[in-house]
Amino acid sequence: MSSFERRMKKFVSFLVLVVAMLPATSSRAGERYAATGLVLQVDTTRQTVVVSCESIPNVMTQW
Amino acid sequence: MSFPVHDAKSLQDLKPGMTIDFAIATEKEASYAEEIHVRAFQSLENDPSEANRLSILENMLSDKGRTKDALTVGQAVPDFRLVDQNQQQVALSDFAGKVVVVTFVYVRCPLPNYCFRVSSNFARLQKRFKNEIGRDLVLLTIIIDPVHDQPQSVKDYARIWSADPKGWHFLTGSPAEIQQICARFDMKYYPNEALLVHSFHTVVIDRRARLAGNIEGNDFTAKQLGDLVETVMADSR
Repeated sequence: MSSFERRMKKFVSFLVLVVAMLPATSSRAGERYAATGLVLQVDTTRQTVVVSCESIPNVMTQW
Repeated sequence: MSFPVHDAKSLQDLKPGMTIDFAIATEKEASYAEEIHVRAFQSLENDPSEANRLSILENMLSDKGRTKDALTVGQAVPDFRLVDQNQQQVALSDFAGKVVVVTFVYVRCPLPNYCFRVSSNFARLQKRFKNEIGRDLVLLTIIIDPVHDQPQSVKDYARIWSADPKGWHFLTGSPAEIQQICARFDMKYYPNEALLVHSFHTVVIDRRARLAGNIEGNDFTAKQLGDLVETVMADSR
């Protein structure tokens, strides 16, 4: 295998890896889910709310 | 589960123990809670006559339907002293340094989704926190009909739920004492023929005897109540 072929092979492997990672990082971005839960904690300084939720299909299991 | 919000104003009126409907908006870095709405407890709507009577009672008690002396989250809970299922005097101050969960039932309540469910929630708390019960966590079930629920029936009721006497007390007292304690937690009830019409409140008190949360209604799960108890136990160590 020539030097050019080896570089091409590395480049293609890298490209495949990048393409494979894209859906994992952004597939759910922009989606919205309705939820209901019991408020456990409110932190106005950090702007967070902790909620005990019932399971949300196709969402909770992925988190 | 912790959610950030874009606007701190959306958290202003939220308190632990409230049930909320909201939208989870997924973004690249995080998932945000948006469109947060507090869900009002409405289960009495299934029986409009009962709901109407309770509404009249609420209006008699205050202008806005909230008992005048009701505590808000963060306020100190005044001490009270009642008698438990073993005829022992029990005071809230006996449990200083522990997390205390309080709810309200009457023994002959026939409805499975009412007092039975409330007691079932406590039985599940007792199981989930079996290592903490009595040592770090105390459950108090206040009997709201002390005239009819005599000591032996209260003791039998505690036995049904396999209540650990070190950590789960079923408390009775005079009607006036019970009424006064209930008012602090916005708990309302009145006799209706042979039964009681009542609201639902499950209260969590932190280690410093401050109100940490007051869950209204019976729509929450035992797991959610347990999650709130766990949060308060961790918070106030």
